[in-house]
Amino acid sequence: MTRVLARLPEIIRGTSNPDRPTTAVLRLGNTGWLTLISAALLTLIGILSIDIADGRSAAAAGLAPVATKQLVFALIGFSAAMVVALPHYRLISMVATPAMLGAVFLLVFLVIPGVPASIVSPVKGTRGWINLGPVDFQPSEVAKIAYVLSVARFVRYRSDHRTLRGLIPLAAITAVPVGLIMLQPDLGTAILFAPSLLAMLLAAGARLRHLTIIAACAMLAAPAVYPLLRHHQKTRIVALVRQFQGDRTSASDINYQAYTAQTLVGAGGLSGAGEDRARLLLDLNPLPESHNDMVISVVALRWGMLGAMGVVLLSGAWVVGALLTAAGCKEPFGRIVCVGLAAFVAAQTAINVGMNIGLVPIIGINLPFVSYGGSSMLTVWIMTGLVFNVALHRPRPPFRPSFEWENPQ
Amino acid sequence: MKRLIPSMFHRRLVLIGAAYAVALAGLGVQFGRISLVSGEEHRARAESRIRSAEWLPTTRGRILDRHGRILAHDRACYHVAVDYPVISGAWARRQALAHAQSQHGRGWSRLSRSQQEQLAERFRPALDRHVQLAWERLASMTGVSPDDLAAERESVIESVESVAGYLRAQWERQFLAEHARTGRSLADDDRRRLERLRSQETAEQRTPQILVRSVSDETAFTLLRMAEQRITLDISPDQDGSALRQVPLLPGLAVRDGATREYPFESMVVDVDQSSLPLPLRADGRRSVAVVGVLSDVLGWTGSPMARTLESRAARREQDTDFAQRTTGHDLTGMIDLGQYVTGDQAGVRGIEASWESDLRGLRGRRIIRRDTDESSAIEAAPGMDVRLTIDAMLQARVQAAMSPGLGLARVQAWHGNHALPSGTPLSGAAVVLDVDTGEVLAMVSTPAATPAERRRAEARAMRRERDWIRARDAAAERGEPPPAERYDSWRDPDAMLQFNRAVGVPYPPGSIAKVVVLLEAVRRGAYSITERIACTGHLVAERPDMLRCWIFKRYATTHNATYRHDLSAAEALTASCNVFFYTLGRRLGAEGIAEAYSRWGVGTAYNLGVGPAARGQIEPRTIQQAILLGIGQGPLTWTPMHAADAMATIARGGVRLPVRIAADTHGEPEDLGLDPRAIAAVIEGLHGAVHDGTHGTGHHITFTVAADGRPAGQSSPATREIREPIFNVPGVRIVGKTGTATAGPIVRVGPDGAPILDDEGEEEKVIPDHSWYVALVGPETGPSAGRFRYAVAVMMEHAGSGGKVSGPICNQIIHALVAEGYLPGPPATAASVTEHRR
Repeated sequence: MTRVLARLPEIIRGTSNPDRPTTAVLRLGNTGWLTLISAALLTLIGILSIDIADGRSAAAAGLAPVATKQLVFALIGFSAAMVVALPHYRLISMVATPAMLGAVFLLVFLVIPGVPASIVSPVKGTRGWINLGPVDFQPSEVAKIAYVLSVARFVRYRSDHRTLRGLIPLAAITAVPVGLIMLQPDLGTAILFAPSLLAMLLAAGARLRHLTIIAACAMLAAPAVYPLLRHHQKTRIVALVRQFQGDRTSASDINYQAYTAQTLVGAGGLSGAGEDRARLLLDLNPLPESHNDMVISVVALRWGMLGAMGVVLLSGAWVVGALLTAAGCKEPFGRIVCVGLAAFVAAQTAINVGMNIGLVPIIGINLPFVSYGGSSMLTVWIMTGLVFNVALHRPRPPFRPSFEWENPQ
Repeated sequence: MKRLIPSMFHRRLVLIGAAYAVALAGLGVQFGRISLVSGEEHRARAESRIRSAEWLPTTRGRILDRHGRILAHDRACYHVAVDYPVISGAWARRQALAHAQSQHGRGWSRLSRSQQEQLAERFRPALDRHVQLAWERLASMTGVSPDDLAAERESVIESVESVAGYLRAQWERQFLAEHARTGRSLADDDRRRLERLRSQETAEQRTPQILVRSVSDETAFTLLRMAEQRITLDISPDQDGSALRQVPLLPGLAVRDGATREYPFESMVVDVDQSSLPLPLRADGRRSVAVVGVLSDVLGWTGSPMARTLESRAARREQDTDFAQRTTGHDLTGMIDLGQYVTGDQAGVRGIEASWESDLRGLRGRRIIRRDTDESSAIEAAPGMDVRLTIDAMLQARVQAAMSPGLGLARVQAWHGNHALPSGTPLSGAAVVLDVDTGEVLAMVSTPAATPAERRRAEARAMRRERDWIRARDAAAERGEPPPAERYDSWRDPDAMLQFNRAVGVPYPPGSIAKVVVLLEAVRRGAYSITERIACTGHLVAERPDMLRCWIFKRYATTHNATYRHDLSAAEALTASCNVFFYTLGRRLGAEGIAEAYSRWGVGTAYNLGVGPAARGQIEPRTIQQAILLGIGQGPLTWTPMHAADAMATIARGGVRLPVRIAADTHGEPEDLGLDPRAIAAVIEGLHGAVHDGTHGTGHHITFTVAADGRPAGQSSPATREIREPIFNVPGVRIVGKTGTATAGPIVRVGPDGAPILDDEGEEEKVIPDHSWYVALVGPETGPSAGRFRYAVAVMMEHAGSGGKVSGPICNQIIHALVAEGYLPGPPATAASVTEHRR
């Protein structure tokens, strides 16, 4: 332990040469700050919104217990981000495979039958959480990070993903966690792996032709999957179709959540309803999961369309920060990690907001940084820490330009 | 692009960023659509719940008599209510299920519905016993008999289920209409939604329903305390204490404050001057006669609304735009009916209360409160409209007193000569008093009288009997057996008959009182010239002395030609009620002619006064034989006492029919029947003779057989003598009238014990009784309107025998009542006194 502590500066600097100036190994002014600041702002908005969604009257002092809990999660998340931000990401690349194996182990643990309900208790039919006493832990969240790290590690020095055959190992790496998560079943989280993989392959220089063919096949195959869906999943798709048709007969049952969310979004108008009124309207129009999956509706109700778009743009800023970090990084592992994480956050944001405003069926995907939840908060802050890590550390030479397949060097 | 960004990796990053930007732009557009384009609509929807609305109480309108006396009004009181699931039996089932579930523990939900029911079944007996015991406790505490409480429960179940059926049908219609707007076919989820609507419980099915109305404060408070008591009940099948359950002592009990409908004139004591009674009943001084249920068959009563109550309100709102406008108010989401029925409401279910329901019913106020600003706006409640009747409550009570068996006139007496019913049998009947000038009903009495409470219970009993019979019949049919011998006949069930107001609701053959109509119509149609004389030969067909006989031939083997010593004029024929004369007119008019004649006088048209079911009466002659019989008011012809009174009033008006009215706010057009004034004069002359001609008049006198010492016969000495007395003894009043003795359908003879009398072969002995009619026109003999007939009176006593002997004295008492109430000149009478109101 003491040896690790003694080598801490070396671990952070990513070099054992004490003569190199800090500015030569670290970029203190970097694009990672963009992700860090937007993450902090989103977290803050989230805590305020959760407080409103809690349904207490405005007169009560302080934060609602659930919002306070979220604040604690945020602090834990921030600390975790600092921890993963400091050691050079090259060291982190070394733990990618073990992390993935650990995540897979936990995902298997969730779905094996016979685990007592005191450890894995299904929530709304999904075996997604491990009971850790005061908090529940959701392995699929951590699996996202492990997955990005392992894909990044896998493709960093390869070029065979530019062939169709070379994509097969990547498909296998993806299939394991996705399959296990679908067994829980948590279709929402499983779906998020697709855009992440797509983005990482794009960045790693896979051929657009291949990706287009795969995407087209997936789209064509989608209707064939419909009969395999579970009843409640089909119901959500039917519900969305009803929304598109402007059919309000389902407003009191299968579309209750969706229509209530849209009603609240609309009630916020351009600049929001104000705090007291927002609380009152939420009280009168109870919105299930208002502090969690539907929190953007609360934001829109409280701060209006401007506030909601602010949240969307802040999360856009996080994604842009991650992409800029990737752009500024010359080392392949760092590049892919940033793109993979950015894609996760981007897809999650787009789908979550989309389902709040009637563009996407309601599936259990929460809004990064804003929605209530410990595992999720920890995950997105670790993602932020990783992006900041890549932005902070200059790659150690020597390295060759990565993924520049069309530019003969 | 390649030139601008040489690095492929960076180009790919731009591609990713651009894709994301497109996605975000899409989100932005959708946000704009929801927040800006349809933001108003969404805000309105979200805020529709900011405002909450509450009802403000109103009161039901009063019913007044022609002098403004209050016949019906609301009074604040306590009601005893019980949760509907307890009443319907669902409570015991749910308790049993809940206990079975707690005993079964885990895996309950995996059992099928029928398995669960089976497990619960063994706890049912104890729970059912507990509920039964609770009913008995409740009955004894509220002073209602257990049978009546059971009847009340049945009527609540009927009402709640009927309303639920109506509401579910409406929900379904609304759903389908809403669904039709989407333009797609029914999907699975729509069908499930529809299924849910069809079985959805209404508010009434979840909430307490009133079983005992208007209990005393003391009872209410005792019950309030008991409502909280719980006991531990052993519900195990063997009573071995293996299944203990905490249950309320009186499950679902609730005490509600509300209003009770009061009928202050429901019971009264009327003083009758005994010196005006027929000889055998005559005595000095006055006699107090208690009358109960006065006007209850006219006013009806209130109760839980039925589906038809809701339907008729909806129909009126649809047809009567004025009414719809008056009853509509703003609510949170649009316009609502301020008079709509909400849980626990009472509505008129019978009589005037029901037929004037939409007017009597008050409009509730609506207060709308904004929860954000605490601002409130309110639509004031409007009390229901008062309905003013043309009835005179005091006159009504006096007429009812004259017809109450207690006084003796409406009870089989020796002088009636009634061979069908044993002496002393109470007689039912009806009497109507109309105001000639206006067509207003001053009194309409139907006996037997009963309080609204008695009527409700009787109705429930009759319904139960009919249902039991139908069940027995269906069960027999299922077993392939013939239906039970004893068929349920509501016309023979006194309980079922209570729902009819005999004055308008039950048709009777008119008998000789119809002769006035036949005469007037025969003259109008030219079948008879008013100057023509017709011989009474004792029987119409010369060679058949055994049929179509005159009553005088039948009884005294003589003819009117013999008594008058000449052929009869029209007036003489009426005075003597000569059958041969009117057979002749009937033959001349023919089947069609006489049918048209009667229908011009309202036969075949019901008097829908809103007091209950109204009978049309019927006339359907097919043969000339029937036409001949119809000449004397027999044969295939029926009408109601109201038809008879209306006919008399029409004659008094010189042949102008006016609509008969019972509510002051109704109007109609007069109709001139185009009668010959000479014929009317002849009728009046004839009717005058009937009452005043001591030799020929059939409605002039009654002959009493008394002991030689003048006391009623058969008491001390066998020696008797006969005393003849005029039927009418009202000084200063001009009276003309006509008797009618109409052959009724056969009835079973009943002994004094109420059991049917059996003949030698053990069959029930049947007799053919007569209905007794007396119709009259009365007016003052002196004063400004001297000689004018002001009032038409019709009296009909069922199965009572001779018109003159039974209905005549009652008619006399009614005229005395008109004098006593100041309608006719005479000595001032002591006012009838109203006794204290009793429940």
